[in-house]
Amino acid sequence: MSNLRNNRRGRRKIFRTVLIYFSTIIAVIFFIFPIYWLIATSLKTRAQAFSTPPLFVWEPTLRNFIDIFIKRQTEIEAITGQELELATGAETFFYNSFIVTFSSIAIATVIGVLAAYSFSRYQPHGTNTLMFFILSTRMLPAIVVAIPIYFFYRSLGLYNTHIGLILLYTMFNLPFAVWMMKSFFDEVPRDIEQAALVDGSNPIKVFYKIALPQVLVGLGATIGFLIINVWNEFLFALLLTERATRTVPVMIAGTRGEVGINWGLIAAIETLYILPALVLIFVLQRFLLRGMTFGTVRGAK
Amino acid sequence: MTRVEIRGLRKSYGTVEALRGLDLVVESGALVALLGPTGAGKTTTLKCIAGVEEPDDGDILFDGESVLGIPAWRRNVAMFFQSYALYPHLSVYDNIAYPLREQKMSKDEIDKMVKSVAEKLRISLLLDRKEPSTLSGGEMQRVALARTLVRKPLVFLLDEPISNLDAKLREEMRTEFKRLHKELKQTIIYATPDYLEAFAIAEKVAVIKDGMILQYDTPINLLKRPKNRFVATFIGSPTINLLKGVVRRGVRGWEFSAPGLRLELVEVGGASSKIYDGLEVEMAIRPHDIVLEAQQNANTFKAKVLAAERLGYETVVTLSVGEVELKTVSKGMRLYRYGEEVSISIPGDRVILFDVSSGEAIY
Amino acid sequence: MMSKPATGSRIMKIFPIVLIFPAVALVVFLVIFPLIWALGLSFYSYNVLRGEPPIFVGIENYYRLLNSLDVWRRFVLTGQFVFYSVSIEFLIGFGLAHLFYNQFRGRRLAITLVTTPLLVAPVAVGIFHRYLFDATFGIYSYIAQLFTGQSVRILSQHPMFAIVFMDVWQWSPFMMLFILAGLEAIPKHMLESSEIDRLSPLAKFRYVVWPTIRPLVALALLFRTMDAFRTFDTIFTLTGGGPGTATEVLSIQIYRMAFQFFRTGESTALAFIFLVIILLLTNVYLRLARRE
Repeated sequence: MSNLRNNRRGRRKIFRTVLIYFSTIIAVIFFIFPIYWLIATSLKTRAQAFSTPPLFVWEPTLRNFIDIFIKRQTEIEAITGQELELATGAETFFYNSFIVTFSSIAIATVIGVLAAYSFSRYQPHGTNTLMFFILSTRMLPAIVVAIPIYFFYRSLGLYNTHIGLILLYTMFNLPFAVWMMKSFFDEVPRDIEQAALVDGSNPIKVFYKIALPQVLVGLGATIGFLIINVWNEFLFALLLTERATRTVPVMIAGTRGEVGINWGLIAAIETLYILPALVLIFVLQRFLLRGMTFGTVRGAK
Repeated sequence: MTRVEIRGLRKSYGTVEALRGLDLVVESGALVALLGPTGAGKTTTLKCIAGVEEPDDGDILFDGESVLGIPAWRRNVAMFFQSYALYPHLSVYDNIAYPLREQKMSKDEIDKMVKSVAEKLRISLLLDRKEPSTLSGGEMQRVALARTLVRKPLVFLLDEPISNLDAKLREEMRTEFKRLHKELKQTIIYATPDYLEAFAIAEKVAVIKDGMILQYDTPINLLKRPKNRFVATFIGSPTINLLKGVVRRGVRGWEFSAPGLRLELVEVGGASSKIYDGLEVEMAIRPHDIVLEAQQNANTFKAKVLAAERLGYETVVTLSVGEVELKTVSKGMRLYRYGEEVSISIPGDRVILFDVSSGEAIY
Repeated sequence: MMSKPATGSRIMKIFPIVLIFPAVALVVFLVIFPLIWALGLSFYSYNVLRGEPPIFVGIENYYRLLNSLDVWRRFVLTGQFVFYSVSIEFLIGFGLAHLFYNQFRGRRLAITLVTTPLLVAPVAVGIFHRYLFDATFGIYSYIAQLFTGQSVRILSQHPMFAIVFMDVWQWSPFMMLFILAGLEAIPKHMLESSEIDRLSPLAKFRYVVWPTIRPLVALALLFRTMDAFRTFDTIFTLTGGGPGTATEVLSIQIYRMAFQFFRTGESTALAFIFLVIILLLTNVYLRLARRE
């Protein structure tokens, strides 16, 4: 009798396990497939990329990755006769993206961490109002500020400059940096800093000798998210740059209107472009929720 | 050696008033205990003295001079935090050495002082530990204590420094504090919720509640002459007996009467102005002051045993007298059974009367 | 009343202000100032290309926009996109969260893989989905053909499906993370006692699970709705709003109006209408979330 029941329970458990794994595999395939296909395509020649039905087995080639950085008339151009931005080699765009990302993050991190610490610890008058205001900039559609900023930049001479983009990205990242770092600073017990004050450290020393070391992991996570934010930004880069300062996403989007594009080449550029994000997802997984919600929601275990 | 004086200290957090006009004078070189329940304002008081919290109003003086203008990092007080507040990213050694390094002492000197304090607190073996978070609660507490005691400040502020140690170590630490105090001759303010601890180490105890000092006195006086109902009930175990009743003028003087109980009061003279016939009061008598199996004299009553709790060499006996219940303590090994009849006497000079509405002592 | 000025406390008061100032200054310079400027411009008739000074027209821009059938059609279109995307994302996210609430080997890795789309650049997503949906070489079209037996030109025949599909692919994991965080916040003892009390699965959900995850679900819906409303990069790179104006959501319409037709004054007015809608929606959401 009890044996029978155990048996039934055991069978139900097996069924459950199978179901869980089956669903998980389906889910993983659905969400990872486009990325897999992107990388796969980057390893195909032009002809292979254009094959119908799509090729699942082929001999991978790194040719596309080499082509990206070689300054010459590409085969696309030869065929279509159209001048593609790609023809100049992609390193300029990657260089621009890199400069803009690195600089704006450096500035946003320094200013953001200082402000976050101040909000968290001293809670000066109007902290809540200010924090709410900063948070509400997240809800602000980029296109709404894009129009005035476009005209400002044109008249101030910031249009088509690195410094212009850097300023802009710094600003867009500040609210994020402040909110997220504040949520990390909030977790540092106040007593520790007060103990350091009593032990003879002035507030500046307390900040960098005591508080900052407690949030290093959080700082890393914040910087990771800032990198993604800037690296992925498109609209403002599209509006405010021309050839000399153009970043990767604008270049990639520029291939949209072309006919007969070399998908292998595009895929290779995109693969390189999303590579930082792919690496960071493994590092940031634990902080994903916190990062995507300005630090207002703590992540799951 | 510093005399600490606190005048009318007020501090609120939002709508919560943590301190409501607190006054306290700690004489130079004295060890004073700040005794009160959780949330009474002990920690806030200490933090205001240390300078990490800024009072809304009032003044704090060291040797007659206000220190409110001196920031915490230059005030030269040492404080033990109830949460230990160890620096999680520093090793045990670096934690203890931290305040000394901030004073720009020489390396050798620091090393000597850290090692000697570690030895005193028996944590020498822990000095190399990298992460304080891996220590046990008691170890953390001793490391934090070492970080406090390694210094030579004007005042030591200790916020429940031994509450998390086990009973035996706690007893040792009490003795240690007394010895340390004699040795250092330092002004020490010691916050604790445990009256036994306060009585054991301090010459004077300030009972604090709701952000005010209710009574600042020697342990003996706190036991014998509590100024109000709170002090009377907070101190002493088992808790003091409280009976509601009325004051009457009897044949030989004032009497306290409750249902089934009539008590002659002795030496009411001093406070007589506040006492009148028919005054409603609460009478308090410490369980230890009630004499069990008394000889026949005044204020002797027949009582019935309701319960007896054996606590080692003492037995707490709950009795019913008339319609009221009283607790008393019997020393020795005698057993008490439920329903047993005993006679007790209540010494009239040990009785305290409180005003029913204000809770203030009137006799 | 006040004690004499204290040097220590003065430092403590100035210190935070010094720390916060740069952040506030930047935000004012690049958000507040442009917004006010744009609000002003929305009352003018202005075309950059013509080079004529702006002419004050009062609320005419707003009046014209709100009376334009074309604009209303975009509202509906945007609303459809938001509604389809967010509700499908919620369902998928809900399912995934319950799947990953189970403990099993490889769970951690599976969660990481499933959440990968969240960090991928929208532009890359949009452009690459062009390839996936390509009528001739696209693998999605190929799969569709396998199932339906006829060739499907998804981007031209079902453009709305394409953009919703893409959004669902990228953002369902976002919902999943929120709901999973909610599920993991349910106290274990409550789940255990509901087992002991033999609550039906439905009752268990109603009385144990839902109350805990509700605030997180509300927040997830708020974030997703707002983000879906503002979606620009992915749709712009996948369909460019086309074919025709079949997927021209509000943000793309504003972009075109401002930077392709240079109807500057009108575009800022539309941008402000857009902003007001978003603010109202945020408010409604927050109120709903708080009331229940």
